[in-house]
Amino acid sequence: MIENIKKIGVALKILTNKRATVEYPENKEILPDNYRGMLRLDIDTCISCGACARICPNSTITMVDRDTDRGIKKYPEVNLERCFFCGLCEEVCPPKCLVLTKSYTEVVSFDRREFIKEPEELN
Amino acid sequence: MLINELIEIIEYFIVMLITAFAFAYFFGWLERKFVGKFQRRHGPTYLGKFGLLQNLADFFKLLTKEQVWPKKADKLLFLVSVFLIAGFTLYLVMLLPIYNFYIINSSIILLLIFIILSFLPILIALNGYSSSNKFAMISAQRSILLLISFEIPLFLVLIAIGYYVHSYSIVSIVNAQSNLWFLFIMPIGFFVFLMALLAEMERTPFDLREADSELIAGWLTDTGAPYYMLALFVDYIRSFFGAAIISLLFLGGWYGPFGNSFIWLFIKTIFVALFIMFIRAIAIRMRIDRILYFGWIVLLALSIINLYLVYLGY
Amino acid sequence: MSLVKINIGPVHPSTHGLLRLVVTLDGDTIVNVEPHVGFLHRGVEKLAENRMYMQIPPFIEKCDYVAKTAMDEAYVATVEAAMGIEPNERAQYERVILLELQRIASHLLWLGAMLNDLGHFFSVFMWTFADRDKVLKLLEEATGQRMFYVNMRLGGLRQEFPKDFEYHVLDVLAYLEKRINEYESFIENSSLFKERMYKVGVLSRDDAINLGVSGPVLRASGVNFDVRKDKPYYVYKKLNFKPIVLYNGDNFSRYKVRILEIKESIRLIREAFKQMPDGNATGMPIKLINPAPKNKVVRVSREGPRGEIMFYLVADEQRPYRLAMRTPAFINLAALNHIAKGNKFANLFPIIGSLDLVMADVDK
Repeated sequence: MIENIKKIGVALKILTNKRATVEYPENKEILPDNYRGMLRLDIDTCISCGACARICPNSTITMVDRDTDRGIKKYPEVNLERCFFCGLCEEVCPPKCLVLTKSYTEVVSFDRREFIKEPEELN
Repeated sequence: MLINELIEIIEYFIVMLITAFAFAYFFGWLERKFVGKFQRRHGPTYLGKFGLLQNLADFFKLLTKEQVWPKKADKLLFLVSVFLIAGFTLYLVMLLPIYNFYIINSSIILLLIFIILSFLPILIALNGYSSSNKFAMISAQRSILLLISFEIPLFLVLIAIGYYVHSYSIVSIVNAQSNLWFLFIMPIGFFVFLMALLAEMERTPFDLREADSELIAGWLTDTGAPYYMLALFVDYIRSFFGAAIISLLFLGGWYGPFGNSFIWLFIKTIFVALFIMFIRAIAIRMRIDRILYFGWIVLLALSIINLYLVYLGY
Repeated sequence: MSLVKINIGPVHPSTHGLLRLVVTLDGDTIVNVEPHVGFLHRGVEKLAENRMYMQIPPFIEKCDYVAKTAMDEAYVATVEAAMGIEPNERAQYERVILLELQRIASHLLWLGAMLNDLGHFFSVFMWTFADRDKVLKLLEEATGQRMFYVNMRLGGLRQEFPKDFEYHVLDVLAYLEKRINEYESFIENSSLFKERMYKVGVLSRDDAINLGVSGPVLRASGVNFDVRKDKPYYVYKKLNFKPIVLYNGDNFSRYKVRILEIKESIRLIREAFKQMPDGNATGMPIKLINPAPKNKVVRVSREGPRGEIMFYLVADEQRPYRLAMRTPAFINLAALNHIAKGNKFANLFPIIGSLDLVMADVDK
């Protein structure tokens, strides 16, 4: 019985701890610099080697044809529903044109068809 | 005249109803914010300032959901028992006096209140049985077991109070506390009454009804949305009733240092309710056989000792 | 005297994941518990046969979503053993630091979930999740993601620790020490807790060895076996590691072993930071991996937070020929029938909570 009273004492002290949650979306947390979020492609530097499509464990990236002034080249198209943001494609890309940025709010949508991202700048 | 008395009764009825609903709403908000602060998080903050309108939004949402009747359920029995539980609990709240505003001042009113309170287990059993769900029936049986094993210590403490004051009317009990609260005259009785009332209100550590780690949701498993909301609302009215009874019987009612008024009664009720919510946030649930041991052996012995001490001290 | 069968279905608020139990009751006493598993089976062992070595870690990590680094590191160590690569000393220290941080995070989540099973109203759950969030922030700083890190490479890590990482870790460890003492005194000073945990769910020493359990469940029954001491790997010998053993075998011992393990992990991380040499801990990049020798068979065991993780690999040139996984929670679940026989029905959920099951571990 005495220990229950001790427990109430400990609980009253715990009542003075600070809150741990953050009222989103007015206040947000700060992310570190090497956070792996949304993908970005720099189309002018891409050499169309296809290494990112071959290394992906989940077959997320497919190479699609695009018309340029030098003929038909292939660029990566990403299906965001299958991506699990492991970063292997970023590591294996030779000219480092496929990067993962810190943005996490663009990976939501109301329509499933918007998840297949074309290789334009907003890839 | 008869018409005057009728108008008085209706006026009293409306005022008490509004008070009971306001307190039930306020306790719902207070519980969410207080338990949230203890758990290091904000409670509801989005709807209304400080989240005051959150309960209202939940009320409307639950009204719009569909009620699905299982094939073997007994519709009439279920409806009758749910509305009877709500009706009896509101009737109990009517009988409480608030300073000089009461409807009846007979000398056996305390007994009447607790006799009606002990009629509720039968209605709960009917409710659980009519769901024709295995979990609901087991949980209803456990609820009856819980509620009837804590009644005898409760009544023994009431007998001790009645012995001290020579009457069972709540107004005279509060008036007898003008010098010293009953909390200091019979502390063992206060402890027994608090534990027994926690069991009657089905709160932690005795909340077998909501044992979602054992029997999904107890006797409310199969209730559809509107009746679920009614059952939860009745739950909050029962806790308002329990807090008010404790502050009337043991904490001096409406007596306060700067003159007597009903504000002191409300402040004491809120303190007792905060304490009950605090216990909910820190305690773990007792097992059913330990609850029976606690009710039939520990509390019974303590209440008999309390009665004997009051007899000696008087 | 008739026996009743109750089905505690896969969708239940309190089994940790998708677990179906068919319980045979005699009145209020349990006669038999039969778990039906397989609701979360994704065929990881088969998926691994069609992918190259360094494409597999994301799948292995999802086999235990609470302690991801332990599975990842065990797999990468298996591939290293097949190819004959040894990580250098600084890489070994950094791997030990990440593993012990992951162990703290896993035990904190277990603490919250276990008290929920006992009937507590989510208070300790919220506190331990807030503390686990701090540890996850540290791991996020070191690796880049909060949940699925994919951080281990052959011979080291994917990237070095950032600068000032040491000071952040030591701050969080000082904060965690205070908190763990507070939680201990809050939880144990309660007669209700003692009633439900002492002498409930007893597993004797011989039964524990015969059933093949491992991890804290084994050490709480009096058997002094820990992979970090008996088959030592990395730098645990230099850090003076001692396993924690209690002798009663009931729920309370299993709870206490894990709390003491958190404190031991805090001590190990501090020692590792003091002893760490300078150097470079980055492992091999993915483009430069040589093919493995054909038909090489290796077997590696590691100590995860739940028990012993063992990987068995038959290597082919670019892809594994066969990868077999022995996960600890699968075998701990098989001991449930033996422990729960003869107990009351209300004791079943605390026993399941104290075994620390994660259903992805059971089903792979």
